[in-house]
Amino acid sequence: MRLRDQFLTAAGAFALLVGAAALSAPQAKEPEKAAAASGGVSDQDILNDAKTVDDVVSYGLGPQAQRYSPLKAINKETIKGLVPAYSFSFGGEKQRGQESQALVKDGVLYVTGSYSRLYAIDSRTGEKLWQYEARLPEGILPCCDVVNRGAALYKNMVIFGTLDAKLVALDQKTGKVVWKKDIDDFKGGYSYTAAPLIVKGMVITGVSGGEFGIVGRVEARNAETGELVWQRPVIEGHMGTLNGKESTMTGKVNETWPGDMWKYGGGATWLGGTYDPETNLIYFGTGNPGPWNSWLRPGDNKWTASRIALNPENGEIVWGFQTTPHDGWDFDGVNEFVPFDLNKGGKTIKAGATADRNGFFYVLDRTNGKFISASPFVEKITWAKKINDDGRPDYDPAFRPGDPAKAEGDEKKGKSVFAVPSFLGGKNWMPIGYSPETKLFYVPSNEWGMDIWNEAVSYKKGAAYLGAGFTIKPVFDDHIGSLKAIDPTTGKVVWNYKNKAPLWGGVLTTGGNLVFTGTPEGFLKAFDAKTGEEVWKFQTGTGVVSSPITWEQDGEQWVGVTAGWGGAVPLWGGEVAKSTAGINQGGSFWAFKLPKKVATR
Amino acid sequence: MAHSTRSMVRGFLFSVAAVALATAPVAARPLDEVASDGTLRVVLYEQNAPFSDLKDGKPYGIEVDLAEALAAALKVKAEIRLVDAGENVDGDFRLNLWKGDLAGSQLGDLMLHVPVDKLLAIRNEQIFMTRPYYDQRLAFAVRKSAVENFETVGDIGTAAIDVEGNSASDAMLLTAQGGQLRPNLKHFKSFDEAAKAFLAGDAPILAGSRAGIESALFAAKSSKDEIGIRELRLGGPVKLTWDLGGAVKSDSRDLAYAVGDAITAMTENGTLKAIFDKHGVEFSAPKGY
Repeated sequence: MRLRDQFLTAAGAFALLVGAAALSAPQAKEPEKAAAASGGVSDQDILNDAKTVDDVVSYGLGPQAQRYSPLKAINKETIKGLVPAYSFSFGGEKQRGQESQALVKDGVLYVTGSYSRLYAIDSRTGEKLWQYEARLPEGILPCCDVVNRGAALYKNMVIFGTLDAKLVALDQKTGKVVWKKDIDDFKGGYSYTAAPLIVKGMVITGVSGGEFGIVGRVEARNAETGELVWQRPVIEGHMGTLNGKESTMTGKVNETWPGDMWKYGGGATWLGGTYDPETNLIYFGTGNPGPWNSWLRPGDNKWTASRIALNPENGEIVWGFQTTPHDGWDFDGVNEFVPFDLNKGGKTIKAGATADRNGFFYVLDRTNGKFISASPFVEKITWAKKINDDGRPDYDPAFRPGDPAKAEGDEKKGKSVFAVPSFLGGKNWMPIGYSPETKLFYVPSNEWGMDIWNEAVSYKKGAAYLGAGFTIKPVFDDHIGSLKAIDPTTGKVVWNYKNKAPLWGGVLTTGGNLVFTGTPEGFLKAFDAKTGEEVWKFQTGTGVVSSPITWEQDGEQWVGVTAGWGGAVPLWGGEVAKSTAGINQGGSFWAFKLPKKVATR
Repeated sequence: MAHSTRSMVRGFLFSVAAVALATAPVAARPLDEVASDGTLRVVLYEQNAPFSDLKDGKPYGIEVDLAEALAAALKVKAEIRLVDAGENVDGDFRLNLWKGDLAGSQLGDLMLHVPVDKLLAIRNEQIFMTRPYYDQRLAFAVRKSAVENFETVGDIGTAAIDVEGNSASDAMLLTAQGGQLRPNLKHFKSFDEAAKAFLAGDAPILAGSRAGIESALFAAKSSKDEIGIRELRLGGPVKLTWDLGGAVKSDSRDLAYAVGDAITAMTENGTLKAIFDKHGVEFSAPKGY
């Protein structure tokens, strides 16, 4: 007799019983520079991550998440000598989407896998040191696959979030739990898939969840204990907390919402954030508003589909910028905001850029959120004609799904429109990169639209309600995926690599003037950062939908990427599925290196 | 919709085999397999009182009793699985009847609380619906002392209405009268919470399904002199009434017919009425049956 507390974890029950899979194999070799002696990863190490080439201690290769490494041994000339060093299998029966970015420190590589698993392996040999499998309640069903996007390192801990909305800190050496906290109750529809961000000794997270009643928020916890420091709900009218007491209200009650609908406004902060030490601001994107049908909630619905900047000391919102006010297309604007220095008219502006779900690439002043520019990064956008000088969209009313209250006929469908991009976005979760060398942004994007309508004849929990129908369709015959290099000073697309299947992985840029990204077709590819010429590819045997890293060890440059097809794309059928038909699942971490003798030849 | 946990599916409450861990879900089964196995796996919603919910750790409600009566009619035992509702019923069919979830949980043979709607059936060719057993309607509970002559929408005026967010009643009220009632609504996470607030004197009006309201008033032993139940014909796109029935996988039609025959018999011999009575709900037969 099994009751509801059956657990997902298929691998050895002993792993469940001990909580952490205590595979801290004694035979495994010890990492050389004992992390414990050095106190492990410090705040300073994280702030310097973009400059230190022998480690990757944060998601995004530094809290600004430019995903740029100055390493240059691998360049378009030498890359033909780049060879696989090992492939590490995540094992088990569970595969599905692998969206994780790995971390490397002191000879140990930390990588998360689907179903909330985490592995520590020898970064040189790929030998497993230990693995941790979260104990997940049975039947947990995140809407968009069972992914995890990565971990954070702090002191002697490796910290990651699980599908049942827990945050777990593990000992880097043993994989044993140091602390574990509930972000929220998974039964209420909460989940967690993003990589946590470390700022000033705090671990910063958002929340995932789409059930009615969820309000997005950003939270800071003491990274050493997991104790909550502050919480900031992103929807107007909700109170924040600081040190266990109510702090301030977000915005004003009812300013941009009708009735009491702000109470359940949505705005999930499911992708995590970035941090800029120069301005001392944390940047987060916020998701779509609820309920889904925009006709029910007249107003801008702040701060859904927005970028917000928060003060790390107290969680106050310093500024907000809404990319899609009154969203009606599920342009779930969680996309990362990447700080960079914009050179314009001889001046250097502290700017930041974000490639929004809605298809526009925005450049904002990162000190105050002031709008600088926006340009389309996908083709044939229909929902808005352009972004006006004040940063607000110039909506095209002909492309907002019709009000079902005005629908006629038996089916009572609101008017169907073909909106571009589709709700999966001009860009979805997959992180962009910026190279201070080329001064270009690299944006993994998708050219797709959707037929979308509000539908009266829908049922939820056996009862009538107002739903939506949609069908995603490619915009072009020959490709959906499109990796674009964008000049942030002009918004112009400098080069465009077209890929048949949708792109779903992040990018890496390097001092060797290369851009790396993966494809669902299974390739890790490298491009000339200036021209977009494809200079290298390697077939991993399954789709690549993660973010690659590069690091240096023993005087050699390494590249690593997680492989395993999945994520939200295969969950949507229709014409898009044709481009990915037949791609097999997997679960592995591939490491490549450029041997010294090849690099110097 | 592309970002989050929308629903959780719980394990069968009784005797789920370890096959839940296999990669492919075990198929839903036609009548002869159900009969030879001796069990009918029935999927019901959790937090869906008075139809189905967990009470003291056990499934409880009208449809729990109905499932057991149906199983008895088929001379098998009912295995009841309570699931959280997904984004829509179409998705619930997929997860519980024909495709399964990411964890490979066992599929159900029969889902109850399914709106028997032609368009829904056409959209979901993987499933087949049984004949319906109940006529579900949207309604209001009204505290008579606070609202006089509650006959038309106009009588609502500025009176507050307690309602479960994202429910059928919520959709009806948000769209009614061009959205004029939006400021009146006080949203709660569940009907149960809305009903509790109403009974505690929060708002003079409670919106919900007729069955939900009847059951809440029954449980609270409220007086009909103080609180009345009304149905209003609000203009708008949302359906105000629909029939509830069952669904099976489309290759198990014989099971659907057998269930349908049992429903007919139970309607005629008063068993259904007795089940509804037990939970404080007036049985209302579907139109045309």
